[in-house]
Amino acid sequence: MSANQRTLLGRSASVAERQMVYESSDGLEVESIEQYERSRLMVLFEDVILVTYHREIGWPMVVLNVAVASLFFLIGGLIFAANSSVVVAAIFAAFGVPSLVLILVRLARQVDVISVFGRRSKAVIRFPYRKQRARETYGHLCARARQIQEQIASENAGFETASPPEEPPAPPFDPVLTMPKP
Amino acid sequence: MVNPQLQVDSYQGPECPRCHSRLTADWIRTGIVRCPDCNRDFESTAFTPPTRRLRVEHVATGPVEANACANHGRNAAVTSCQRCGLLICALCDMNVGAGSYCPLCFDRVRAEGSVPGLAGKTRDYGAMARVSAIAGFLFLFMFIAPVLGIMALVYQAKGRKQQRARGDKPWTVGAVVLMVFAILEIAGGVAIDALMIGAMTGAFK
Repeated sequence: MSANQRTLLGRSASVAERQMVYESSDGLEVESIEQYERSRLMVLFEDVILVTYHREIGWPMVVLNVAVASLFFLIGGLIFAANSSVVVAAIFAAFGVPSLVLILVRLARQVDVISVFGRRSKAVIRFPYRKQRARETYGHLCARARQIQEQIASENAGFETASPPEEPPAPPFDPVLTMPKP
Repeated sequence: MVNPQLQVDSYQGPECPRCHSRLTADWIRTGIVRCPDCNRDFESTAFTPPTRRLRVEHVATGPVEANACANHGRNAAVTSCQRCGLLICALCDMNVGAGSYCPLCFDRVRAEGSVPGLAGKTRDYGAMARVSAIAGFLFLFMFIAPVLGIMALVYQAKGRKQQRARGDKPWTVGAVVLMVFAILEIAGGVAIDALMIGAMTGAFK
């Protein structure tokens, strides 16, 4: 498995950890990074129960950027109030503009989230900007899971037709045992 | 006692991707689903995964002179564990691309992390290399920049080895930038250290 080529499908980051989701030949590899520790789990295509797609705002990112923008605007406001120097206040406030832009972009476009639930594990991929790719990835993952599961079902059917289970030999007929009791 | 290496976050099965409440079988379906808890919609595709059947030969009906599995006396062994040598049948064969192991050895090997492909948790040398390089830049005037630069290169080499084992490309743009940065840091650190030692000893007078 380690020698398999895998392709990066996407990432998902939270406050505590970062996740990277790769596609390999038999499933999705989810690598979680917490500080300096990297843990890995797999969601096999043959185990997939549900694949979901939804769009959300992602409030932690918005709150963080609101805090950053507010801080710089506050500093700019305080400088303006203290010195009435518009230029210096504007320079400080300008540092908050990128955060403001990020907030507006996030509110307008939101994040596309794909969740893949298997029998034993799950994978989450977030697409903040590439909506078309998110939709393609969703379709691709559903198609791959369907393909692998149909392949396994056909292999199972092949087992049943190729080698029917042998019935155990019937016990010898004993008329005494089968006679009803008087 | 539960091995801490094998502990993972408890996963209960499919859940609402918005509120993370557990979805019962009624809500696992294809189409637009409205979560019963948070009352918000999401698109979903449901599957009914088949259980993979393994071909297991019984000793009596299997190949001539077949050995019995150590765990399942009636099943014919198909291979042996490469760690303990136990004969194992197709049911016991824990082969995930890193050789055949019996279930007990598989647990041990995975816990030890001795086989790279099976290790559940590994150290992230790439992150350690980045932190070392940044720390070296911050402490450029404190004599330890060359040491931290060398550490960054060593960690990066280990990280590349890890990436190769995982099947990733070891040389990315970020890796090259980090390497150049670490080399410049070592050279710059040595030069600054030499200047500072020279200035302190009065060698430049």
